[in-house]
Amino acid sequence: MILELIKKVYRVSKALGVKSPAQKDVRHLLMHQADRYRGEHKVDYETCIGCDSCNKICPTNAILMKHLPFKKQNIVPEVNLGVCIFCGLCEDVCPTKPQKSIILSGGRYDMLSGGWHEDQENFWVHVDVPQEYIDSRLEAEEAARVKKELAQKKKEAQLAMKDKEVKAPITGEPDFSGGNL
Amino acid sequence: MEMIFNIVVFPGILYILLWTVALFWFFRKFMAALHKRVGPSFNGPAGSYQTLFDLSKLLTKESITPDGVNPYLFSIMPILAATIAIVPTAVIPWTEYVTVVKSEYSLLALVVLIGIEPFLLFLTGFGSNNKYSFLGGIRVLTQMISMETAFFLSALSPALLFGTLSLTSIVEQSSFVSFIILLPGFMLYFIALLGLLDQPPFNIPDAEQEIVYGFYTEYSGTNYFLLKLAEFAEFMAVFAGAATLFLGGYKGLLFDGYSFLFLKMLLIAMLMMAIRAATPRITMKQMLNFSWSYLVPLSLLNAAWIMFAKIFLIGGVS
Amino acid sequence: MLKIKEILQEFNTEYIEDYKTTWVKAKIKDATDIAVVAQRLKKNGLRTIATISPTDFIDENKIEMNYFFEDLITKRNCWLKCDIPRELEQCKIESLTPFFKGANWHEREAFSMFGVKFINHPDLRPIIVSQDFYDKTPFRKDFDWDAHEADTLKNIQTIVDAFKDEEDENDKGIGEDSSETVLNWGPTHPASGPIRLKVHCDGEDVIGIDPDIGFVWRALEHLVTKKDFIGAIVAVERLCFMDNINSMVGYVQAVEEIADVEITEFAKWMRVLLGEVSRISSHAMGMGGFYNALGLHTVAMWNMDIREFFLDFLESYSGARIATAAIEPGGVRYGLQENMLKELQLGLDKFDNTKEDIKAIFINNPTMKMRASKQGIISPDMVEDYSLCGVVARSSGVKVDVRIDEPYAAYDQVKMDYVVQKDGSAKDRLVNLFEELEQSIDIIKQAKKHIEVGIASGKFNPTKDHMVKVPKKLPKGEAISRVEWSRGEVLMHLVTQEKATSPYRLKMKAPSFNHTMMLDKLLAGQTLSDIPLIFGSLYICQGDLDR
Repeated sequence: MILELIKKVYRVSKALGVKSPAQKDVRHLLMHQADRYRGEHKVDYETCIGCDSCNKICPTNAILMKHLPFKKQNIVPEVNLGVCIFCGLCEDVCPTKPQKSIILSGGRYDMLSGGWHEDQENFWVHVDVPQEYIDSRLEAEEAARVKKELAQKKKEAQLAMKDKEVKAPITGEPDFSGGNL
Repeated sequence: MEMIFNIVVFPGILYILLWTVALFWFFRKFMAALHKRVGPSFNGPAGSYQTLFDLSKLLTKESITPDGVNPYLFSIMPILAATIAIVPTAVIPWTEYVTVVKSEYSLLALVVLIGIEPFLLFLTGFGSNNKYSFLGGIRVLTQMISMETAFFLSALSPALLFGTLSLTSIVEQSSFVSFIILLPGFMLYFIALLGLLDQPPFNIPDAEQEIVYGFYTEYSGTNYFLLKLAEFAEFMAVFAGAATLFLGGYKGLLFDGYSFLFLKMLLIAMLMMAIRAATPRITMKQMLNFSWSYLVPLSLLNAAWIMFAKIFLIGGVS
Repeated sequence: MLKIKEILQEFNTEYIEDYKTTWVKAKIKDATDIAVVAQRLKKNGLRTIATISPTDFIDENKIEMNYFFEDLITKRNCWLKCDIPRELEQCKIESLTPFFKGANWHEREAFSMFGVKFINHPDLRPIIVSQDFYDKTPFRKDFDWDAHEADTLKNIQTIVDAFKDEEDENDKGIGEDSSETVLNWGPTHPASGPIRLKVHCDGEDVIGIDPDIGFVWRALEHLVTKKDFIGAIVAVERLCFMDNINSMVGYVQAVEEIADVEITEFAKWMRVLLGEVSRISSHAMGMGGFYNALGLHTVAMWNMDIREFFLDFLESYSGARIATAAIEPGGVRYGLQENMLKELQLGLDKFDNTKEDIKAIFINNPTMKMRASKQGIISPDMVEDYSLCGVVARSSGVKVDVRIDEPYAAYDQVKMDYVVQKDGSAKDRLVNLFEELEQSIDIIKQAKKHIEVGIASGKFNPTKDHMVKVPKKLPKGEAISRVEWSRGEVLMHLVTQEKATSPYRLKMKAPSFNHTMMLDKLLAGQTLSDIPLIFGSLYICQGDLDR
């Protein structure tokens, strides 16, 4: 039995020659890159159509919709990273083409940010909509509304004119019909 | 003046602390290489500052004393255990000139001092108010008593061969021929050493999966550091004993000196680690069976072989 | 099957019909007949009871009990149902524990969750739930979770008081004449994981063991009813996420059966491939866990080295290493690309390079044999009585494997055979784990070749063929589906109502539940050193133990 033990010890020592795969400094680099890695979310407020599908399908209710002061397409998603389980169903269900409005694939490491966090707010993905964008959307809505009103007025004016044309010929004209001769 | 240097620096307290730190780091790196991983590598060149950081972390943690323990046993035993573990380094010849206490009976002093440790460790387990620590303490006693006998018998074989109990004269008289004759004794001493130091396959008192941590369970902070210091100082005493008795001490190839003693101790440590990576633990009953049925009779046979070699091979009894 | 139908026709039944090729489904009208029917079936050979599951139909004011009987030798199965009234005082039925030893804990679970009382049960105490849920029925449809959780401090105080009373009682036995005591091999132990074993011991000899489970209770069966059919996969995959793919396959097969949808050939082969990769990931850790209990950590480290390559493949395919969420109703969730199969090949090569070393050092290890070849012996009779399955059953010589008995996905085209050992000791379970690991590698090679040939010949389109559409609202129905999970057989029973968007009731039968029932029988009379050894060799995971 002692001989067996010596053989085992010799074979285990062969592991001294194997190079360990841990060659990189993992505090700064990734060991393995994958395109589909589900990391931190990126929300694109310009293409989002506000359909609320991501909120409805999220299994843990981690998405909160932020209201914007428009008439249509007025909600964008914000994600609570402390509750999110990074399953990726919100990305699967987003209907926007060609690029989805909420993307997890290729995001950075979830929660690995270094340093101290004094506030729960650091664990949210917020959407910062700049004021110029809001102003430009409001202008566009205003312009569209004005255009619609003008078109409406034009249509009403046309209808009114047609009525006048139908009513006009009833005021006295000679009758060249011939009577009964 | 020289005495103070010996007590404080070499081979005294500073030397033992340095040895503990370096050996702990060496264990971790060597074990990691056997496991196909890297071990500590971020703090310092190849992770050598890591043990210092762990040490300072332990010393600054709170030493918790649980409710209901026996105050004398719980708090005083670690200090006593550490002190008694450091004393054997005084009798070992480190180089040709440095032996702190020269005496005719230094081998006996070494073995007896190593043998007192288990009783102190049992008392630490008895004094904690915890069923697991108590079980750990009883296991320590049972194991040490069985392994002590084999250890004692095989450690005495160089004394039988050379006819003296003084470590300095054993080292002076050792040569290549005596190394070959003492080889079976060295193997038996090595196996008994594994049992004495709670290393696999005999790490029964320190069985993490069965009794949490044995008698170390309730200790934390400075108390824990002192118990670990006692364990590593015992390592040093036993390794140095092996190198001095069987492998020829500070004698080397081209010149004599301390570095060869250090290399021999390191060799025994590497062998111990390699066995640790390949063998699981055995149970108490199997260990008792192994020790009393095989180990002790073999060491008695070894003593007979030594006498035979002394009479016929070396030159007779003087 | 004819014999079963003959037995059932002697009683007063509503219907008897065939379900798939190996099951007979029947409903008896009178709930007091159940014990007699069960004993007749047992005499005929159906000695195993897989699980007992109540379903709460609150609109019809009744609870429907489901019993699943199996015969492991001749592969015939029977699914019995009966109705009992819903009010708490009249909610009783006769217990099957005196005849079927494996029904013990299943009846305790039905009692804790639904309030069903079992007459003549030897030890009807609550299980899994903590002390603040005693005398309440959490899984009934009219239970108010918000009201229960409004006062958390009071709930915690109930638990702490109960623990302190127990502690006083444990130390009563210590004195001068005896050293009998109860040791907590407990939730904060380095080797146990989140489970508590109350070890009644005398010094180092064990007299009896009473497991106390429920530390990882997430009420998954209730959680699933609040999500829709696609969102439920994240709850089902957390049964034990070491092997998450096979449990998802079980659930989606039941959904597809109710919706009457057929998936593509490519999706079936992908499910086989992913399932075997996930099985390797779980078995590698299981071997490491067994050796960790013996004090040798080298095996776990070497296995992790191999497992990393397979996790790299899962990460490239689905985006996450462990909780992948990669199987959806209708197929698999993502399409396949060429570079992913190359990464899989790296893992296969690494295993082939290392397996000789692992076999020589750790499978033929003399010290391990000295320690483990006489402990924890399970005989084939015990396998049938206690309804064990998976590695534990096969290492005692019983040939049972759902991939061969009731093939699902593409397993009917895969060449495989049962992997069995002879004696049923702890060492045999370790050897069986390793041989199953080799079998999984072989199946992966077959599936990979089949998929590559299919893609090259144009039969499979890897980016479009992976999913078919499943309707959002399912009709009324119920289905059961069995899969071979890495630790055993998982049986999922799904019930839906008319135009449902979420499951009405999902019952998951977990193999570790039955294995933990055995601990008392295996460990009485052994020493303390054997507890981690036998516990580790039964390949228990606390995630599916508590659900």
